[in-house]
Amino acid sequence: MNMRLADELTIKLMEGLPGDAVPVSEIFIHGTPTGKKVSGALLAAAVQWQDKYLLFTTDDCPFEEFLGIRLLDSQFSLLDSAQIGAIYNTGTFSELKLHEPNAVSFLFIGDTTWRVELLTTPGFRLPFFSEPAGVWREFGFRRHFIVRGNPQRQPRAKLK
Amino acid sequence: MSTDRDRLAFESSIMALQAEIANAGTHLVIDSTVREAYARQVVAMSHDLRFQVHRGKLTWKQAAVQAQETRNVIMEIMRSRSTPVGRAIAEQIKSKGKTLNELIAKKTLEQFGKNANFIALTPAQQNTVYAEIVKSAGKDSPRVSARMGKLSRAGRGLVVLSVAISAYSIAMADDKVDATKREVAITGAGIAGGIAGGALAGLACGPGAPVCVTVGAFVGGALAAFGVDFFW
Repeated sequence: MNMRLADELTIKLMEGLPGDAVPVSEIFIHGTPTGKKVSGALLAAAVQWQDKYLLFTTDDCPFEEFLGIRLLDSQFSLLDSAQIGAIYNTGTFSELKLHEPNAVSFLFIGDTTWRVELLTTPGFRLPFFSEPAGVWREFGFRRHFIVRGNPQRQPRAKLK
Repeated sequence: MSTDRDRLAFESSIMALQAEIANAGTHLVIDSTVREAYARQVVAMSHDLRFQVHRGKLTWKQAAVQAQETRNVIMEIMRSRSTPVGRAIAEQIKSKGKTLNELIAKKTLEQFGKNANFIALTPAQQNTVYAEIVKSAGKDSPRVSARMGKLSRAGRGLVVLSVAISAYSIAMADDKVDATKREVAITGAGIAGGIAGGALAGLACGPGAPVCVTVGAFVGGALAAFGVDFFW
């Protein structure tokens, strides 16, 4: 088995952050703090792939939720990350499925099944052009995973 | 003669550029102002509902229902108040507000563990779930708000730059009154043309097409600025 759900991982929101700050949490394994931090307030799911961990986090903002996808190495250091979501919009994470050897799929937003393909070696990406609508990443040219999806646009309002 | 024509063409291009800077800055300022209003409104709504529960005017369940309904309406209103570009970005993905049942399920699991069932909770525990929904309704995405704060500063910077270019053009002109009128007309046309161009592009390309709408806003702003300059 190349992939499995990593239920031993949990996160705990850091205290003392300003109310309007982007939430940051500490990562725990089997209830023991790792001393490593990850952006997000709630852990929606964690998957182990080879010696790496793929974490799905949210900011606990149900009416305007963004899904954080974080790939961590075996020492819980961040390798790559992406966000799925849209301003004035929200989604619900569900239906997580593991697809051996290197992909996961899930539902979140945009009436589409999202798929994350994990890469054994980092691949090239072109900022602003390599991602589907609704996927946001920091500026850069490398990625450790590819996010695929076909999110539906807002339908045109019908004239009354 | 040719030197005069070249100078006029150059001045016209600078004017259009300055109008486009004002156009971009105004778009950013409008969208970030809408965002600030949104953040204020959702907090006020959540506080008001909690206040009404504490005064005994509403139950926690009624407050949660109102929070869910009002919050989804506020998001829809804010999308419509954004610039065509801002709206197109928001509509890139089909909007679907959370239902009350989804919220109850989510908050039940968060508050009482993975195996919790809302129906099996005590009334006090159910009220805790409803209260969490009301509290959540007062939150806006910190990621979006932080980014919009940066864009707001960038937008204000562009507006200041545009005003500075106008001030310089007026200061260098022989007829300062006429130059002032021309600057106001061209800059105003650039902004109005940008909004109109974005809206027209939105109609042509459909909702959720931010690239098309941005191009429309840029072209609309440039055409309006060049047009006013041409007929001045």
